[in-house]
Amino acid sequence: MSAHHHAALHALYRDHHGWLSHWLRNKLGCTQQAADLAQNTFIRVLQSRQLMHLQEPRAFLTVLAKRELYTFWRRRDLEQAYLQALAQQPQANQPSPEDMLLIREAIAALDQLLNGLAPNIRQAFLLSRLDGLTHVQIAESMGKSVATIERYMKQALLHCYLSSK
Amino acid sequence: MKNKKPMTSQAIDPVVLAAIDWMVRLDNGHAPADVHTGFERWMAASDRHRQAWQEMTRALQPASQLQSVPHQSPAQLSIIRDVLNAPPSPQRRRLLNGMALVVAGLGTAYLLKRSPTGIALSADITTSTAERKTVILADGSQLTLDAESSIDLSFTAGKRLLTLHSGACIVQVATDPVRPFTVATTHGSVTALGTRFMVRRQSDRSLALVLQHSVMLAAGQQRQSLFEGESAWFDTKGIAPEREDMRSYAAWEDGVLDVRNQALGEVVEALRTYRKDYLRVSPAAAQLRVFGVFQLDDAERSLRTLAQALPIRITHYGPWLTLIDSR
Repeated sequence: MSAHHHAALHALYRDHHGWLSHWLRNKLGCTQQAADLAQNTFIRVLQSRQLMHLQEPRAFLTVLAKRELYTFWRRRDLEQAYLQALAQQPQANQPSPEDMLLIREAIAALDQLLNGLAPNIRQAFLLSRLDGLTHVQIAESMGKSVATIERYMKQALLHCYLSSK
Repeated sequence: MKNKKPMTSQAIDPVVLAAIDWMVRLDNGHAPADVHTGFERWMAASDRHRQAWQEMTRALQPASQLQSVPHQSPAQLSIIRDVLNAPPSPQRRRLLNGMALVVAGLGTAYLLKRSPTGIALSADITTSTAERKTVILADGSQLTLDAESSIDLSFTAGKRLLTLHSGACIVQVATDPVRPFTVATTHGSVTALGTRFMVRRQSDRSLALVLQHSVMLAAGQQRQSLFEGESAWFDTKGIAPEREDMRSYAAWEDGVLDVRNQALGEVVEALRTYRKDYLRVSPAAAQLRVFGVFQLDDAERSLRTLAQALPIRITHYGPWLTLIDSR
């Protein structure tokens, strides 16, 4: 990182970190979480490499912070949905606490990977990759042709490839 | 430091596309032996082939991780799949589109909302991709379906019920004072005596839009009258009136997409039901604001129009994929 770039980042942090934390606190209602997300947002700034071209720093920060908020809420929603579904299962079906932690992490990671994929493509992908169904079985269960399912799978795989880059 | 272009604007390596082709062929379940030998030959042919295969495998890590998590019962797997199948709520996605913020405790709304599979096959009236259809019903009402929509009809002596499973419909209801006309989705119902209105069903909620006179909207425990020009979102929990004028959302009836300051991501979402290929928008491009009127029946031209008006680049990859990136 050039000295120039470093100074620009420092100035951005100094001038807007307090404002951003406050903005996030209003959305979240929790100081601790707001501080975490503000920190994550500045990490995104570091990665975005657009620092030298900023015209409206607060608009830029808001866009990045909204993505952080989205990820945070989406993750919480997923966890709640998972825990709720689990609560309806008999005791024998409950995973160990270690497994549960792994599963929750993996759900969040996979969801982020699939973010933006159309619902039917997502469904086909999950049936293939999680349930291990064949394309013919997926086609039958979704009421689509095998050719469509194969097209879905290609689209899903390319999406994963691009998202993971 | 140079301003780096968004990553998706780099051309996709044809070797990666070939790796994806192999993956899908091998995934088929009953891939014949010659596919396997063909794949082995392809892998052996070049380092770059093996490298692309590894990149693909790595990209799919989160999925294989979940598959290898020790499952104590098959129930575990189906729970995980159901949780992941639920799309983010529109409120969440709107956050990404940079529109109004909605902060609400909707945490549990995702549970088991997966629509029954294959439903379009059992519906009474359906439309496929890029198809619209207008039919006159037995009572003289006129029904218009948007692309990729499906509907069931149930007319009896006491009621006229139309169940919208997917997509959107506009009904011009023939007046019948003793038989109310209802359009229902899983989220609620819209009832009228004689009027014109639209219902669109989305995965997490539905939209009712009154084009003439009024309707009665019922969802959850709530009921509300809507009058000409008014609209409201509804789901099983209740009704959320929409303050914006949503009448442009019914323009698909005339084969156009009327966009007034919407995010490109939403516009592309609307174009999707009119295209057989998959449109993928980069996150940066998805946030661009769009104004204009686009032809649904010539979605290709609409894309070109968008490319002229916005700083985006559109790249086609064969018949199944189109990428939209910011320039």
